[in-house]
Parts: sequence; C-alpha cells; structure tokens
Amino acid sequence: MQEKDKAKTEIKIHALEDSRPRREGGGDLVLHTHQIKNMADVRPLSQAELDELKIIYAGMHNREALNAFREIRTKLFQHAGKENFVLMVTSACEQGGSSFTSVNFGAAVALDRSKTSIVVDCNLHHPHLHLMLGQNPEHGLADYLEDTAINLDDIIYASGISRLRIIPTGRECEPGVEVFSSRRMKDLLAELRSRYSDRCVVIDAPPITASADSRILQELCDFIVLVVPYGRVTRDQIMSAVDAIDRDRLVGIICNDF
Amino acid sequence: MQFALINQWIRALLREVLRYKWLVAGCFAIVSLSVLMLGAVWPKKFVSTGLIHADRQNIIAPLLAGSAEVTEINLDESKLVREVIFAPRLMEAVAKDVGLLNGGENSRQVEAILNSLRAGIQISDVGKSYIGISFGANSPDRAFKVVNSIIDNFIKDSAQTKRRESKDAYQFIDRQVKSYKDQLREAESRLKQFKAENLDGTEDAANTRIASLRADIEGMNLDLQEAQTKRAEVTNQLQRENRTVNKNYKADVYRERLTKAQTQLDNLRLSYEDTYPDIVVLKQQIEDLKKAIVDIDNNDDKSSKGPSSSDLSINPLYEQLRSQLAEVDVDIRTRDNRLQSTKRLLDAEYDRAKRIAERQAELSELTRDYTVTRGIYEDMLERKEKARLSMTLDLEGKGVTYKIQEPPAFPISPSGLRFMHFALAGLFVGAILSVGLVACYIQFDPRLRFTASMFDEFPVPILGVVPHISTPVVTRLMRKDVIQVGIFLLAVLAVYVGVIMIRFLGIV
Repeated sequence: MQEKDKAKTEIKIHALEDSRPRREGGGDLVLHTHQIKNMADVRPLSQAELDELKIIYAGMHNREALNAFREIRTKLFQHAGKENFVLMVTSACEQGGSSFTSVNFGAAVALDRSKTSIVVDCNLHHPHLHLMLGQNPEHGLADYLEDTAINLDDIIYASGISRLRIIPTGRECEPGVEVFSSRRMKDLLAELRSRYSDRCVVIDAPPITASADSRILQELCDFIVLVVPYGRVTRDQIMSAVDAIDRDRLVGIICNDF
Repeated sequence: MQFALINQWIRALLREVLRYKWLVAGCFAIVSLSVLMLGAVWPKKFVSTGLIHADRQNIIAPLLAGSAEVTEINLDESKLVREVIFAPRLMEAVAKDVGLLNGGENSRQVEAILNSLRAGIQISDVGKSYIGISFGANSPDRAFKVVNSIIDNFIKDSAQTKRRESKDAYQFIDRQVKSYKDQLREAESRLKQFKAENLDGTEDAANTRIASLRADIEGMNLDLQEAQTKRAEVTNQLQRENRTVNKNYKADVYRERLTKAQTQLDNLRLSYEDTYPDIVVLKQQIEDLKKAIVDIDNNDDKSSKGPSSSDLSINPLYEQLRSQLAEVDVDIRTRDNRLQSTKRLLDAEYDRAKRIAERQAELSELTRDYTVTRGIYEDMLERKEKARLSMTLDLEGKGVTYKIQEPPAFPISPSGLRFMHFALAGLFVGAILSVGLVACYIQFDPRLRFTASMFDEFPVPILGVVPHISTPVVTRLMRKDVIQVGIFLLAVLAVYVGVIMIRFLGIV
C-alpha cells in the first residue's frame, strides 16, 4: 500500500512537472478550473504574481521571510515526528494573517521536493484562498460538506505552486451555521491525511476569539499554531487566545508582520 | 537583548512615522511655523550692566585700629545693596531721572511704575566686593539711562549715609557728654552744700579727736594719781617733822662759823703775821664764837626743863615740806579741773560723733553720686574724642566707599532670546515634537510591537517571527506618498526660510 501510494505520488507529481502549458501573453491568470486529475494543466504562478500574493518562493528577494517560514516548517516537523499531521493555523484577531501564514507554510513545505501540502480554507465567512485561483471556483469546502454528491476530488485545486494544493471555501455560508462538527468533515480530514505519505494538511481557521468554528476545528487537528500580528493585539488578548486553545495541541506562536 | 529591543523600537518608530506620515509632517509644519511666528513677535531685550566696587582698603584704619570705629559695610554685599536700591526713595529718584515719573501720578500708579522698575533690575555679587547692577528693557536707551541713574544715586546716597551716620554718632555722644556734665555739676554743688551745712566734720576726725581726748584724760588721770601720791607722801613726811626746832642748832651754827673762821685764820696765818690787823680781828671773832658756844652749852644745861618760846624757831624743812604740800595741792586741783573740762569736751565730742553718724548715710550717698558721675563724665569725654576722630575719618572719605568700577555700557545688541534662536529652535522643536508624539504613541499603545520582549512572556514558545512583506503595488503607492510628503516638507521649509529672509531684509 505504501509502495503503491508512493508510486501514485510519483506519477502525479511527475505528471504535474511534465505538462506545463505556457500562459498566453501577459495580463491576468489563465482562467480555468483545476482538478486534481488535471494537475498537469496547472500553469505555475510567476514570481511577480507570487510577490503580489505575498507568497514565498525560492530565490525571492525577501530572504528574511523565506527563512522565517523555513524555520517554522522545520520546527513543526521536528515537533510532529515522522507522520503526516494536520496543522490548524488561527490568529488572535481579525485580519491577523492566518491565511497568509497558512499558505506560506504550505509553500514552505512544498519547497521540499519530497513533500506536499494542502491548505484548507475554513474561513467560511472571510475566505481568502480563492484569490490564488483567479476565478471563483465551482465547488468548495462548504459545498462538499452540504452536498454529499460532491467528491473530494472535486474540491481540491492546484494552486499554481508545485506540490501545494488548496481547498477553497466555495460559496459563502450564513454566519452562525456550524458545519465543522459533522461526520463529513472528520472523514474529509482523515482522507486528506492518509491519501499521500509526506503530505501536510494545513487548516486555515478563523480567529480563535471570533467564532466557535475554530474551537470545533481544533478537535480535528493534531497541532495548532497561533498567529499574532504586529501592532493589533494587546498582551491580554493574546493570553485569552492562548487560553482558548487546547494547550496540548498548541505548538507555539508565530509573530506576523513584525 | 537590550540592543535587539532598541533596534526593534527604532524600526517600529520608522514604520509608524511612515504610516502616519501626513500627520507627522503636518505637526512638524504647524509647530515649527508657530515657533517661528513667536520668534518674530518676541520683544527685543537690551541689557545694560554696571559694576561697583565696595572699597574697604585704606591706610589709616589699621593704624587707628581700636581707637576709632570704621563704619563697617555688611558682608552680604549684594543683599544690602539691593535693599538700598529697591527702597522707594532711591527708586523714585531713579524713576524721576529716567522720565518714568512726572509727579502727577497717584500712589498706585507710582507703585506700579516702581515695581516694573524693580522687576527689571538684577543685582549680583561678582567676585569679592564687586557688585554688578543690570537692567533689561525694550530699548537700549532706557536700559542705559536706568542703570546710570541707579549707580549715581546709589553712590551719592551711600556716601551721604555714611557721613550722616558718623556725624549722628558724634552728636549723640556730644549731647550725652553735656548732660553728664550738668549732672556732675549738680552733684558737686549738692555735696558742697551738704558740707557747708554740716561743719561737724567727718567721722574720722571725730574719732581721732575722741581718741586723743581720751588719751589726754588717761594721761591726766595718771598725773592726778601721781600728784595725789606725792601729797600723801609729803603729808606723811610733814607729820614726822616738828614744826619748831631748838636753838641748839645755833650752837651748830656757831661751831660751823668757828670752823670757818679757824680755817680762814689758818689761811691768813700762812700769809701774814699774827700782828696783822685781819688776823687780830679774826682772833677776836674766834674768841667771841667760843664764848658764845660755851654760853649756849651752859644755857642748855639750865633749860632742860623745857624749851621756851625764845629758843624755838621754825623748822625750815617743815616749812619747805609745807610749801611743797601747798604746791602739790594746787597742782592737784589744777589737774582735776583740767580733767573735768577735758571730760566735758569728750562728752561734747561724743555728741558730735553721734550727729556725724546720723548724717553719714546722706554724705556717703552724695559722695557716691559725685564720684560715679565724675567717672561717667570722664568716660564720655573719652568716647567723644573717639567719635570725633571717626567722624573726621569718614568725612575725609577714608573708610568704606563705593566706587564705580565699570560704568554701564550702552547696549548695542539685544540679549536673551533672539529671532535666530527661535528660527533654529523651531525646526528642532517641530521635528522632536512630531516624532516624539509618535514615539509616545508607540510606547503607550498596549498592543504588541516588539518580539524581543515576547519570548519569555507566554506559556507557549514563539515558533518564528515573520517580517513585514509588502507587495509591489503597495510599495509603489508608498513611494508616491512619501514623495508627496517630502514635497510638502520642502514647501514648509521654503516658507520657513522665506519668513527668516523677510525678517532680516525687512527689519534690517
């Protein structure tokens, strides 16, 4: 099984590497929906685009940022050990940079050619990841959780960065609806985790103090990191966020934008 | 750790200044321009200073040390000088000199003017025995005039004061001397009067006299006793002697005569013969004498029955003794009289002594008065001489004087805060205030900005610090904004320099 998976992985990645349709001319991203089967169709994001999206890449000018994420990645992997893990990234306040951090963490994992990562956008009310895709995706996490007809494969998209996949939110839900405590969510995560070896699942969660979603989600994760932005939160707010998170799972704090 | 914190702090400051660049620039503009405007309207102050010297050196003082008092000036120079200058008298004189007071103002206005003068005057100690007086005013003319006037008036005043002081002292002592002289005279006259009234003399004299009288009496007593003893003795002897005495003695007389004659005869016989007439006479006498003697002897035998009155004669010794006795009696009586009168004198003397003792108290008081008054008078005379000496000393200008060491100069350039100071200060103050406000904001905002302090604060570790990443679009916009702010600041500086230029060209 392991070998089979490994072979699968190899083929898939290989497939991705091979077919790289070029973009026509300058301008915006090519608009098409990406499915995991069609990973090969994904055109990688250029450096300019990555700069615009504030995503790290090897060889970027801002060495400090690159190294910061590498270090975070290394520490987490040390903490986690050998197995695949589900990491939840939450922040201490609104617009704290959890999406930014989760995507960049995924990108940092993806820098390593032997690893892949997948970022799940659980910010149902303020989604962010779809911006990487250029166009609103057809299906997303919310759709998947509501509609049993949608498969997992339908909602996994290639991000334009090799070895990094994303699951966008999909359509917006009404606030107050709690979907993460469902069986389907648990299964989703279990599936994601076990699908590939050397895959890291990153959950981009809403701010811990803002909604109950994060608290529900933290049950489903292995590790949690708290993102603290520059100049937005007081010590007390950070402490209350820390207290709200399950201490066993909380690995540490990431200071963002300092 | 500390260095990292400072580093982050500066970076945070820069970041916030960039974030609030328009506010910072605006604040800078407002503050610096208002300081500049303040400088433009700040009144100019001209200060004029004069220096006076409290001169204590003179040659005579050490020579006369102890015999004359040199009027000492208080060692706290500037305080004393300040007291004198600030007194209304001198201030009014100065105000009149300068033209501030015209004589028509009521007391409140006068007081206000004097107070404004006092507010501008500075008096300070400049080294040892030098005093600096300065005055600040809006016009150099006023400053100069005031300081001149103050120094002139002060020096005149102090000279007068000094002279007055010593003259007053002299006059005071003079009056004292006169009054004591009068007192002395009075005491003298009282004493004289008392003595004139009481001729009894002094106690001592009386005592002496009593003593001598008593001595006399004692002597007299002794003499009297002696005389009486003599009388007793004479009486005694008289009793033993007979009044009369026999004629037998006549025979003794004849015999004595006979002896004499015989001796004479013998002598004659040596020289002459017996036939010499003298010798013959003498022989006859001798024969007569012998015959008388035989007769007397024969009569004696016959008269053994009793003496007859013709045979008796007065015993001379008896007579002598009697006369002696009479003498002694007279003597005794004389002495007794004398003794009695002396005793009477002694009694009189005792009375006198008693009288004297009664008057003694009064006499001693008068004498004491006189002595004391005389002593004081002599002392005052001495002091008067000293005071006269001091007065002469002061009058001749020796002793302590105030002299002008440095006359006040006409102030050409203003002192204190000038426009240039404000101009320079404006820039600094503006920059510091505006950046300072941001710094305060960072410091007091409770939201976290520094990771350096965070590493030990939370129960969970810090996994990493992600630096600020900005997108190219944002960077472009930021650059544009910064350039705009830069242009604004340059405009402000241009206005600044413009105002300075106007000031210099316009005023000058």
